[in-house]
Amino acid sequence: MAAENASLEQLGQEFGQLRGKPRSPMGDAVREFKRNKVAMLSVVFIIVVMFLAIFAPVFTPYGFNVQNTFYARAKPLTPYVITTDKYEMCHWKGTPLDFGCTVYILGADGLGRDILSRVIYGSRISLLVAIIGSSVSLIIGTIYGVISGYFGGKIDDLMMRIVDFLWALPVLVIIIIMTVYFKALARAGATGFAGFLIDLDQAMGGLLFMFIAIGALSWLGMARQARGQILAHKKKEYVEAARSIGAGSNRIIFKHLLPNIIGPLLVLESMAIPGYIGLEAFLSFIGLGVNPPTPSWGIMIAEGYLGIKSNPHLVLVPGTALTLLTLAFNYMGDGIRDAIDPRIHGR
Amino acid sequence: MTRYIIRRLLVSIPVVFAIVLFTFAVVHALPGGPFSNVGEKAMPEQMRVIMERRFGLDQPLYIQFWNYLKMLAHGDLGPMMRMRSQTVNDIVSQTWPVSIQLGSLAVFLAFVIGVPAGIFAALRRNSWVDYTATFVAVLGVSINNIVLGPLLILIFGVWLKILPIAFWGAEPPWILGFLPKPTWQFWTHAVLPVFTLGTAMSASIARLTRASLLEVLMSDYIRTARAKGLKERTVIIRHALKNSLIPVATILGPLLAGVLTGTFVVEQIFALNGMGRQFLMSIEQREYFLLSSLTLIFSVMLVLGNLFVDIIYAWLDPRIRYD
Amino acid sequence: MSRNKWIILVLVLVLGVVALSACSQSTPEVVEKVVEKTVVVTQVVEKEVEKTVVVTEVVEKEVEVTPTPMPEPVTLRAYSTTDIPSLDPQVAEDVVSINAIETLFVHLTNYDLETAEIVPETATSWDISDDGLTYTFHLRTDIPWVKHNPVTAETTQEVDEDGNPRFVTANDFVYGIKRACDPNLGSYYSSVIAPLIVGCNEVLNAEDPANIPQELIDAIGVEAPDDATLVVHLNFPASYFMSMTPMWTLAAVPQWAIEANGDKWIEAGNIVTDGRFVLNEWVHGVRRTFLRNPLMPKDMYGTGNIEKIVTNVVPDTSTGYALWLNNEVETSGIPDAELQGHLEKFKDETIQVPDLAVFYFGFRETKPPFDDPRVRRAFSAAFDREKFVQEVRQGQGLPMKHFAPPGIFGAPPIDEVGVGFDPEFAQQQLADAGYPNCEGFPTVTLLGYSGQSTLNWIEFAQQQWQEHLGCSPDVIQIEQQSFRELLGATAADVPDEEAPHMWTLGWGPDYPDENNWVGDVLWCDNPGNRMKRTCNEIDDMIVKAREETDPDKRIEMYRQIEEDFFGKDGEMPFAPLYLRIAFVAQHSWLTAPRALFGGEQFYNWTIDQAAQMAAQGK
Repeated sequence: MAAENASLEQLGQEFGQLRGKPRSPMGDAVREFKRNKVAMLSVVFIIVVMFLAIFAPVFTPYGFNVQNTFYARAKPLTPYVITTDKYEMCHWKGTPLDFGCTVYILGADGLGRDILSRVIYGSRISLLVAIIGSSVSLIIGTIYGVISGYFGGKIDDLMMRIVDFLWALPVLVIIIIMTVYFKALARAGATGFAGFLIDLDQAMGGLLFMFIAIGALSWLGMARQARGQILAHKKKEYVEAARSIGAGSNRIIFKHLLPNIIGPLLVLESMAIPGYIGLEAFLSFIGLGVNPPTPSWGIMIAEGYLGIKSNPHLVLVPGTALTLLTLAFNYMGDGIRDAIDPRIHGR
Repeated sequence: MTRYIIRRLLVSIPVVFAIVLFTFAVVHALPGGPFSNVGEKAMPEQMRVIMERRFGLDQPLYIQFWNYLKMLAHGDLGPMMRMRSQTVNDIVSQTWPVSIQLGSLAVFLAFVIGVPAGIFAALRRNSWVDYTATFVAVLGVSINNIVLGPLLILIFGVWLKILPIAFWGAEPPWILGFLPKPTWQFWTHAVLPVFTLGTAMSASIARLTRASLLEVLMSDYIRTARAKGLKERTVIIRHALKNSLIPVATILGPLLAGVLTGTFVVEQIFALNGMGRQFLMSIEQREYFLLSSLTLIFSVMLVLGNLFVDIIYAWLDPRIRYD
Repeated sequence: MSRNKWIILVLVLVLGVVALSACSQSTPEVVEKVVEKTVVVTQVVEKEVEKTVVVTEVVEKEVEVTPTPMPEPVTLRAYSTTDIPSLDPQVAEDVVSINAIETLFVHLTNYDLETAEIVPETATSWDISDDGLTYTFHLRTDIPWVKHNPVTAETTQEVDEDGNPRFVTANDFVYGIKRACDPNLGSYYSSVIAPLIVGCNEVLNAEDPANIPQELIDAIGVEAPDDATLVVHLNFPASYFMSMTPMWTLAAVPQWAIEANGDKWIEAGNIVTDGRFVLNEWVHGVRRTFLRNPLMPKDMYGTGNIEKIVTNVVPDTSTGYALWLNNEVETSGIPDAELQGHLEKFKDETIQVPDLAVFYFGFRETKPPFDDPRVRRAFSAAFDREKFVQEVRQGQGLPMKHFAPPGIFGAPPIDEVGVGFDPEFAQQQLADAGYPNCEGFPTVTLLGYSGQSTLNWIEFAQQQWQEHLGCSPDVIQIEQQSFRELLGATAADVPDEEAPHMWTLGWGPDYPDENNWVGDVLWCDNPGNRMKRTCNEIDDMIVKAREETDPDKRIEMYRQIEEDFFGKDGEMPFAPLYLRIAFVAQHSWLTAPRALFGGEQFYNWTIDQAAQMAAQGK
């Protein structure tokens, strides 16, 4: 019944592919992905969020750190009543508006900072973590796994022992300890390379050390996957063929193997992104995240949680943002998987 | 199989050892120590020295580590340096059971909800049931504990006032050393924390179950079974379900790690006296012995958990053999 | 795959997790027990200050109670943010411990709740010699040492080897005070009393702490001529010694119990106490319960009617406040974020509790540009304290221009000394220092500690300095660490390069005298000299004021000291910000006079039990 329909559908697709002109696997994947409405919607959502994040100064009525304590903890949609010129006029990008307007669409926090602005700025952190976390893990993991799998033998043994070893670590415990250590290091100050890193971390609002902590262990799964893929492919005919016509290792890896194995790796990585976002939020929540006043959704939730009884919006707004972005990345990951992995079409 | 288990355990020993060494080194490298100050006041130098000597902190680090290992060999997890009327063993025996109870209830809940939901969605594929279940599952995976916990407190504790919002409903002494007295109070207090922790897990189990069952349903042997003219019901229950649950067992591994992360937050939000809270406290207070010992316990749990998963996996799937 | 495997797996899973419920059937007596989970916790209103005032909240927890004819004891249900760090009077250093010790032990004297004057407790009267060096206390001898058995809930009086009942004697105080001088206890408060008592410093700083010569211990200036007389000899005529006598550090402790059980003597079942309550239960990290001590002399009962105190550990005020809303605790701190809503709804169930904690921004005096007093004055004067208290603290406090708050002996009236907020003065000073409009000002760091409220402060400060001094937020780098990390980072022995330029801290008093403020915080010779002050004339004056016996002269001298620190030409080692006055949620059935010094006196608290029960629908 249901299952039979599915296989018919699949059959139909296969016929369709036979009729058309030759297609590359990537092209197929992209086409397949485009047909997935939910996934497309998610991508559009993510792009919109990225756009907002990049151009945050344009789209936010206030900066993330403009305080107006008179309006501390204002409820959403608090109408702006100009009672005194002691406080900032209602304005749009610096131009005062003298007609009645509404500020604090999503309310204000404990210092009277616009939550909408802070949520938009906060998306920068989550997106950065998503992008950088996944790139670091993809790059390190792929390189490591490819080297290990391609060269095999003793090297492979040793490299995989290391991965097995790291795999057994209680990742979160290690990350917390490392983060505490980095923070203490940053405060104590240092010279030389460590000093350079600390300055860089300061400039990034405390993000660098979080990336290091997250990136340090996140590539393990990727390395295993990459090695497995390499092992599966390196004995295939097309690799043998390349080798027989005298192609070097570099050429075989980059020209032949990588393009063929990158799909499953991308799938794996896209599925891992929500994890990075969640981890950052968690670390920020327990006070090990970015430095204030940089807004991060985790910090906003931690702050708002203290006042959830009378001001639920302080948690609900950043919480919703966090959930929506994670949701979008999850759907996107599913979409990529469905598109790339033809075995599990149409899930 | 026994040889495999023994080998795995032997291999784990250096892993655990290295983790403890690493933790030990890092926490001692942190600036400040357990006796550097008292509240906002600086501890007088003389007294700091005395207290550090008392706990051997004045010795070179490798000697401290060696002494710590000797303590461990005797089953002694170390002293508490500030709350001196207790030992780390006391703290662990009080708080570990809370984390275990919370974690296992959440895992149990995850399977009880996740597996049937996944099966149901797969069997009604592409119906509104499936879409709803899928959406709820993705949502469940996407909602972070730090959002869900406060949200549940808000709804059930503050607005509806039907469930307690704090504390674990059981406390030491534990039955058999780790089980709670199953009072009404225990169950009501467990609802919100367990749901907070279990939601994401049951959602991912549902997703996995659904995907796995769909894959099995498309496989050749199911077609064969159908071709034999077996009833659809028989096909699904006798053949499809069993095999589709094999991959679900593998999720136990990541699940264990997830439980760990989750308990850190959930214990904080719901004021539970569990190990995660002790862990965060021990970093802040530089309780070296407590911190090292908790890390040791987390590592051992993870090693054993992974081993357990591998064994179950092999046991369920005859194609896998370890030797 | 065999079906058996599946069955076994399912069985194992089910058994493993559901074993819990299986147990329930096998232990029916649990069900019949009257589950009466009352919890009292003492809560530190905010944990920032070491000696913050503790607010104890009493709340009842709704629990099904099988009908019992027995009247329920009047119960104070409270919560605390931590477990009790220590119940040992000589070891205790924090407010949670001190509250519990006030409940379990009597002290030499007590603080009057209203006036903070010293009133009799164990000592019924005292004489001070004319030279101010010898204090003689006359003690009552009818206070029994008791031990409470948590299992049988019986309280019995201790007996000595000959079978005679034990009462608190002067010798127990001598033992306690000598013990406080022992460096091996590792207690901060040892160093507070050591400079005063003859011979105490010598023991505390003995060369070989592991083998302190008996002569040194015998030389400590406390003696007990008889059971009812305690004599203390001081090193110098410290007129503030009397105000220290209610301190936990000087309390009597049971030598035999300590020697029998070592560090574990304070655990429930081991502990021997002499106070108004006994320790009935101490579930570490979860709850502690205190019951009235039935053997206490009736005239020491206190003015309250509380018979039982149940304190649960709740790590954050937010949850504690939710418990208050549910009528599960009697009183609770109010999270900043809830305050507005709380005041709208529960104006009548709110009290203001001053805890005499003063908060400030510390400056590292040795780290440029803050080595220039003009820069320090500028940063202090550019902070609008009034606006801060009203809008960030939501009215919970009073702006401070100098250090010691009213209520402390020797503190000048609140508005008379110090510059406070004066933006023009601030700009002028900064310009004089060579940074007009903050031009050319180097990047400096401001360190706060975790917790939303201080985050607010440092961010607010950042903006104040932008508004009033013209320093862009990029110049003031703010950073947040845990409280402990902050203390570590600002310690005097941290090199300047590693220390922050500025940080937030607060100070809460141990005893009501100016010496506890300028002497224990600002004096250049105190071990916690975070500001890295170098000694100057002000410090000479601090030492002189400490030893002055004429009260009027001391008041005069302390006014001068505050002026020299915080006036227009003052040294300004830190910028005093405000005196904390916390709004506290408290149900109307509780009457709870708070203690400004020492632990909370729960024995003077009263609960209208009928109203309390009615609120829970009983």
